[in-house]
Amino acid sequence: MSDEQAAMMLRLQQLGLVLDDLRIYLDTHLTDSAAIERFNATAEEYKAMHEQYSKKYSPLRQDDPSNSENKWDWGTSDFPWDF
Amino acid sequence: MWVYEKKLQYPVKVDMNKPNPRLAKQLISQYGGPDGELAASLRYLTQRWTMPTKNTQAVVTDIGTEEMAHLEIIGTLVYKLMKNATKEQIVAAGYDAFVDHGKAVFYVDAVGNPWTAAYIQAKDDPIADLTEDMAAEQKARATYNHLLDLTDDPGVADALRFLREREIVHFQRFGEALVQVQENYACKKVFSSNAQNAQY
Repeated sequence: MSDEQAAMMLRLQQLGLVLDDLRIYLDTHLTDSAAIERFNATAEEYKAMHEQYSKKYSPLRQDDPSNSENKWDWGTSDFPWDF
Repeated sequence: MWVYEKKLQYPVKVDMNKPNPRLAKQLISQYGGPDGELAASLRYLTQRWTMPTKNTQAVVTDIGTEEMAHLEIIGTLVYKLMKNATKEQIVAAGYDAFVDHGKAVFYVDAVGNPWTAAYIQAKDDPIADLTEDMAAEQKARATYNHLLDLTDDPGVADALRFLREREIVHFQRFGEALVQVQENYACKKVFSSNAQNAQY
């Protein structure tokens, strides 16, 4: 994995953790508008980074399209324990 | 329905040139042991149907899902510590799970007991379940403390500190959910311990 890909993965992990943490916070704080606003903004940022990563390197999620039409990217790209 | 992402929730940095079967054998308890991540995930996820409110269902769904990500982190730690282990290192560490599982990551505790559903509970009673869940988070936190006492591998310790922190956060959320369920009962003037009969 290149340094650039590793940096993008780290950013995805950071944003993903913010979402994981805010999600369960909001589950017990249903009307905290500031937290909802932060969740939504972070979700947008995650979505954009996810799309950028998947198109540039390989599918992040099972339902991302294969970048190659001749080779199934999901079945030929690393799993996270081999990054 | 769940969707998989090729991404660990937290980065795992372990030097694979320094295999450590002894530490792997200890860490495996948080994979398949009594207070491990498999037990955590399966406990919360099977309590979903009988949680009384939308948001308590969300709490057990979301924490149960996060525990799956933690299971993957522990599995990755074990895999990386075992991948390049030699026969001599495996014998010296007493990693006897090798007999039945080779270097596969399997659901056992630190002394080899297989995972069992007897580790977990779902009572169709939100007070009992959320109290069980809070205790489970504290037991997992204590186990991470014990593991941190036993390791001097900086990469492993970093991941363990992250996982320990998440147990504390989950404990907090389950506690909030418990208070909300109790307040809901109080509003309905239901003071019975037979909580599952209360109508929401």
